[in-house]
Amino acid sequence: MRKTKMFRGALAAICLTVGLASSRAALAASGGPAVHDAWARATPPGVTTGAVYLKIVGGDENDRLIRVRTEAAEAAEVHTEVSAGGVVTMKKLETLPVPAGAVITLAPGHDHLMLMGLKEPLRPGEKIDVTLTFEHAGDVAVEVPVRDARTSSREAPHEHSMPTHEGSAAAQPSKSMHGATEGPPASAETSKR
Amino acid sequence: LLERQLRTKLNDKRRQRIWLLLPLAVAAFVAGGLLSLRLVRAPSVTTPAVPTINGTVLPEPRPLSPFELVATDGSPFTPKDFQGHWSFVYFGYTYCPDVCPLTMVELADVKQRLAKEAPGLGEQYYLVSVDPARDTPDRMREYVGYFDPEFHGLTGKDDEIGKLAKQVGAFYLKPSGQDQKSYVVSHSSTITVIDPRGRFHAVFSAPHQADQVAADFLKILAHYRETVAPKS
Repeated sequence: MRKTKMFRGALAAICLTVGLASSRAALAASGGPAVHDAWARATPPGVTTGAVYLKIVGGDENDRLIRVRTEAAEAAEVHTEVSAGGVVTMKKLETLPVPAGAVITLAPGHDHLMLMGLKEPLRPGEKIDVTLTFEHAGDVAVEVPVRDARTSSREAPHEHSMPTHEGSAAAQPSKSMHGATEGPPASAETSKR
Repeated sequence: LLERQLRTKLNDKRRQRIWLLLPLAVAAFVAGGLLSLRLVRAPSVTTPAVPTINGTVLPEPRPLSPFELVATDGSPFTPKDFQGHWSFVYFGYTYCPDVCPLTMVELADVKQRLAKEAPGLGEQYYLVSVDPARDTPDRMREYVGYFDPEFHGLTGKDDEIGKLAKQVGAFYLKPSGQDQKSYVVSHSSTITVIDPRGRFHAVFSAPHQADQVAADFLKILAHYRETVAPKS
C-alpha cells in the first residue's frame, strides 16, 4: 500500500515538475537555465548551516552549475545525499550537469544547496540572495524566501518519494503526461520540442 | 541486526517473496502448534508473531549494556533512564541541514498523532548527537526545543555515544579531509524504539513519514501489551 502511495506521489511530482518545466521554459526566451521554486529552510536556534531547495530548468544547450555563492553565508555548495543501507552521506558536487530541457530538483531528503557559516540565522519571511553560476550561461541571481518548514512532509508533496535528477530522459515523456493530467496551458508544451 | 535491516530495506523483491511465503509459514506454524499441543498436551497460549513494520521488530528485545551520555541539563543519562516509558531515538546532529530537521519534524508529528491515538502513553523522544565536538548540551537543548519543547537531546563523549549506537545498529562517521568548522557527518537515519523495560525493541527504516511511523508503533504497542505486559 505504501508503495503504491509512494509511486503515485512520485508520478504526481514528476507530472508537476515536468509541467512547470515546460510552461516556464516557454517563458524563458533567453535560452539559459532558469531557477524556480527556490526556498530555504529556516534554521533552528544556534545553527549556522542551512539548506536551499530549488528547481533548475535546463536551457537550450547543455550546461553545468559550477558555483554557488551568497552573502548570507561563508560558503555554499551543492550537496547530494546518498542513502545506502540506512546511512545518509552528504557529498559535495563540484559541478552539477544541467542538460538542455532537463529539470533538476533539489528537494528535502535528497539534494540541496548547503550554506555553511551563516552570518545570520535564516528567519521565516526573510529573503536571501543566492547566485548560481553556470559554465555557459553565467550568473543567475535568485531571491530565496526563507520558510518555516516545521510541518510534516505529508503536507508538502515534494518530499521523500520524488526522484531528484530527472535528466532529459525523464523530461521527455512530458507530452504524454500532460495528456493525462490537468497540466499547464497547451502552448507551453509545443515550445521546446 | 544492521545486516538484517539492510536486507529488509534493500530487497523489496525479497520482501515480497516473504509475503508470499507468509501464508505458508503461518500454516506451518499453526500445524506445528497443533502438533506440539497434541504431543505435549500443554494448554499453552501461542505467542502472536511480531508485527510487520517499515523496519524491524526484534523477535527478542535486547537489554542495553552500560553507557553514559549527557542530557541537556548536563546530568548523566544511563540505560536505566530509558526505563518506564517508550522511547524514540534518532541519531543526528544540529549542524545537519537536511535529513535531521526533516526527521525531527516527522517525530514532532508522530508525537501529536500518538497524543491522540495513545493518550497518556508518555513516550519520550531523543536526539542523540553524532557530533559531540560541536553539540554541547546547551546547543542540543536549543535545537530539539525548536521542534518540540518536550524533546530530549543527548550528547557526551564520542565513545559513550558509540556504545549506544553500536547496540542499536546505528552508525556514524565523520569523513576525513573536511574543514574543521563546517564539516558534515554521515549517519544512519533510522529511528530506534526502546521499550519501557529499557530494551532495544524495534527500528524504523528511513525515509520516515509520521503517519507510517505512528501506525507501525501502535502495532508494536498492541503486540507488546498482548505479550509482554501481562507478565510484568
